[in-house]
Amino acid sequence: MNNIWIEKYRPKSLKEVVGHKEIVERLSAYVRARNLPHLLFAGPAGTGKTSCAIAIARELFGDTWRQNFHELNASDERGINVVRGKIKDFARTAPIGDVGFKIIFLDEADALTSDAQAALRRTMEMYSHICRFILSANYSSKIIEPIQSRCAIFRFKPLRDEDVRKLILRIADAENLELKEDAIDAIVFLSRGDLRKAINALQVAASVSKKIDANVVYEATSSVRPEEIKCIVEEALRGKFLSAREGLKDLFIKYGLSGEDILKQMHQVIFDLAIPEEKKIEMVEKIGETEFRLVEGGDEKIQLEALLAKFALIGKSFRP
Amino acid sequence: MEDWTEKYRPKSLDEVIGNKDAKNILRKWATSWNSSRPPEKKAVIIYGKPGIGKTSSAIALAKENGWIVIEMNASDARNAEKIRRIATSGALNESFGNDGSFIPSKYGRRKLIILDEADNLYERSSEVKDSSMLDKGGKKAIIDTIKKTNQPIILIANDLYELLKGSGEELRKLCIMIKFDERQIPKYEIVSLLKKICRMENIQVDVKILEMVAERCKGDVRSAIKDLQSICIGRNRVEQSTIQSIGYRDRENTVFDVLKDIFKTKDFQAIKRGYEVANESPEDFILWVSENIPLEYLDIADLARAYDRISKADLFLGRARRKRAYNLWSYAVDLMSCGVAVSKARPYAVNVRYSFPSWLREMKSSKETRDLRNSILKKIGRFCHVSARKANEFLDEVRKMSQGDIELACSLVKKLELDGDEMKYLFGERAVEVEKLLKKGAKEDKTRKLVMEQKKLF
Repeated sequence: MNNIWIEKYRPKSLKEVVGHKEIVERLSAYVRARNLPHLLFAGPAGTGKTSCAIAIARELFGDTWRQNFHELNASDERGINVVRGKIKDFARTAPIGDVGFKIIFLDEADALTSDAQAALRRTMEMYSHICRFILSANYSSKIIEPIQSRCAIFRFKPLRDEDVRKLILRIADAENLELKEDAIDAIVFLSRGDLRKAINALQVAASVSKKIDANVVYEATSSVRPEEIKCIVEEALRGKFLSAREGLKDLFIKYGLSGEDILKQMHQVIFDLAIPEEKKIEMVEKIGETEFRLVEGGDEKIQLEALLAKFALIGKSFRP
Repeated sequence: MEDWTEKYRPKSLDEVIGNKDAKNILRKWATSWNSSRPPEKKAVIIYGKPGIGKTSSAIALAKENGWIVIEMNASDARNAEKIRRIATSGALNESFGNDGSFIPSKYGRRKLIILDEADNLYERSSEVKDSSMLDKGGKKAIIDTIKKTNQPIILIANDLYELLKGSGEELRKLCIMIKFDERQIPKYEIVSLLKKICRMENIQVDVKILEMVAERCKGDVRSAIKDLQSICIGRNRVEQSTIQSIGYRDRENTVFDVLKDIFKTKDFQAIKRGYEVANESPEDFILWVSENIPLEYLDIADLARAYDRISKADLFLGRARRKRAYNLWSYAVDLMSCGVAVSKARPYAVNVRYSFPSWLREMKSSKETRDLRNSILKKIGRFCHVSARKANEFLDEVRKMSQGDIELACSLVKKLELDGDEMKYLFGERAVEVEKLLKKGAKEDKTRKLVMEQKKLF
């Protein structure tokens, strides 16, 4: 192996895109007409938003696709300066080749601040003669309406199990892997319709063994983090606040997780805990409250510590 | 009238009250200078609150051992140049006595350099125009001097953190650190010292007043003596009714004092006053408080209440930062200080050593690793068309697959343009292997090229 498979097997053209039949058809029509409106791709992670954008560029521009396709990650640079600087600069340069426009792909556009989004809409209009925008977002509702109204919106759904299965088999075939039926089931189950997850899981398993069964998959992909997060929550419920707090510090410092990441994973973990159902709901409420506070500008470390203290109190209410 | 604090400065270590253990360590260190070679640790740092006998002990130690004292304090500029000059005239070579006479070290005695207020080096300041008045390079000069000296050195500081921060870190290895603790000074000893002074001055003071003075000074013996002197001026008899004239002294409260007030009392006045004096920004102070809540509040209910208030204070701080609404700070401070204080159902009897926010320390010490990871994440993100944040979601996977598949690891080095540290981070123990393979590959490429060129030639 000499590449990361999520890149190696990224579709080179629209017809290679897995699933999303109607979407692909409409996008192909744009390519044939050699023209497209601004696009907004909405949907969960790993469903093919970026792949579709790249495939469009490859088909439209051919060899010059890299010069005409500018990729920007809004979640890394989310302020208004990016819109006024980088984006505008690229938008007003002339396209190379005969298509007449170039594409700015703004990934995770829902991470842009509302100021930045507001600044973006004028740019979209002003340079529309030489530049098209493709925005991707997990939720279209996080994009302000004026931008939504300037875009054709495409909704990407999580991929169906059989689509994931098909792709996994295709890759296994190309890589000469011996894949047991239960291994495929395991990967499909773990990925929950997220192709990036599925392919990564397959590659990790393949790096351990060429013969892959469910055990190999589970062992190879057993992720430390959900376990650790579960541990932290349990320690807090047991009233061992200090050790829970140490664990939390590791998540921030050693694993580089953001407060929101941790909250999201805590939310998932709670339903696996052996505690009264009612307490689970109480905990969900506290997690929600904490995330709300992060959005309001709270410090993630202090707010999450306070959440652990609340868990400790909840734990006390049902501990004998 | 002579200043009593100078007049009654202890003449020997025994006269310094309290801190027996600390004084014994000092004495032991002094004896280690009796052999012909200087001891391993040529310097000590004495640290602790003001007025509890640090400088007095240093001077007394010199007297007991017959050493000459060379003293520098914050009233002298202490830049690298000046320290070196003093050090070379005193610590390293021959020296002059205090009267200016030359004392060759062969016949002369040891000289003790006392660097008082060592935590107050003004290494940089925009207020001071004349740069020769700054203490530029002072810390470094101190460190150099300690390394080179053949003579004993004592650094004195109130704030150990301040002294050891930045380039001062090296002092940790070079010095013996001795803490003078105001709690190690029994009140009755202060009272009896005050009594002795009254006797010598021939003034009759009600013992209740002496006790009150000793109580209020909180271990700061110097301030107790000053208070006594100010009460006694122009009198030869002091009655109990005079007590109101002793004003409150604004002492240099440290964060630790405020923490103690917050966790041990519900005294809003003391807490608010303490916070003002401690001079920490609320954004730092909230870290101090939250760090120490679980150490003191062992009851979960207290803990949760305190954290609830801390988290609300934090919200105000966040809002203040975003909207530049710094008026909000005052509410935030009340919540994080007084709010936490009233969160306890009852005071705890535990004796807690409050600690520095570990968060700050670890963020600092882990900065390199975090930068390294971020740089890798950016590279992976660019390559895989995702944000660095999303790349972090599958960093573990990339790690696992490349550690399981050395060929992949090698190709990633080229594709992602990883440097040595980044390789170590991603590939762990296998990084060495990868590097070897890459070198070998590069060599083979070269030979292949050479062979091709040769073929072309013929």
